[in-house]
Amino acid sequence: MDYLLLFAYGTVFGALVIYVFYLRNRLSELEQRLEDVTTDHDSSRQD
Amino acid sequence: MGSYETRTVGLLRRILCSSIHGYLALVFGLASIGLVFGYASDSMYGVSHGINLIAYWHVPLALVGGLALTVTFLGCVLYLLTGTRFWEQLAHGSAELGFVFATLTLVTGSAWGRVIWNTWWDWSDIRLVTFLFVWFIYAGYLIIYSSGGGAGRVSRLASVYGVVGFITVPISYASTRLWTARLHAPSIGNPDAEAAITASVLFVSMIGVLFLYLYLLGARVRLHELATRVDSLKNRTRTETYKPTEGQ
Repeated sequence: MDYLLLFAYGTVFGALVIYVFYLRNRLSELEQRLEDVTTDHDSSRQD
Repeated sequence: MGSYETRTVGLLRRILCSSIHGYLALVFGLASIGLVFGYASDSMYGVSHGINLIAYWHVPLALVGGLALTVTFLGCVLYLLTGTRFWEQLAHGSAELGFVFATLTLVTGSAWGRVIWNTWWDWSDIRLVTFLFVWFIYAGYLIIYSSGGGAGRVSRLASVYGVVGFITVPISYASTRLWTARLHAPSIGNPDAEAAITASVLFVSMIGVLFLYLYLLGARVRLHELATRVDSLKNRTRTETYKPTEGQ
């Protein structure tokens, strides 16, 4: 297979995989923030 | 929010949250790859070369990228008119995807041009230069939006920028008809176009990329909504925690 074709399709699918990982990373960040908010809320109610 | 807008936002949310786009993107994407490498013609512009097969994803990426930037424009306009956060989130999610698709269009086009036109890039080709301009405009939009961290004033500024910057998109897509292009020739509705692309394969790829866009846009908008909810929960908790006691 032509190396340029491999490079071009590789870039397309590589970029899509990176974008999906970026979305997953944002989701993990939000889950962490939600956990922090819940912990803050619980500790303030105990005080 | 008016009742008509509420219904429209609800309908769009239901469409974007549907998981069917992901499955359809997978089915059409795999079908496209199978057809590109097993059936499609690799003879274009009088050159028979394997790199011509990139056209079957280069063209859909460019067209769906243009659609994504149009959705950004509409989202920005509706956000400025109504102030509903959903439109702003839709605009930003779509701009992010439009930017990714535009980047991939530039990369794949450059690799294709290396063989067909014997050059990676040509500054005298109007389509290439205007498309690069669009890329910079939306890079600017994403930078402005991210600098605000969801603050209302910056979101409005980014939306105004999104509305004004959109003028570059139709100019770029119509540039080959408006001016004489050195390398790109008008291809849509042009019977003299030299690129003999297998239309059925291009159509399958187009549908695959379109469903991929819808699937990723739905995921991005849901993330935005989740972030907004977490922020409001955090603000509520903070207000409850620091509420001054009575009598003080």
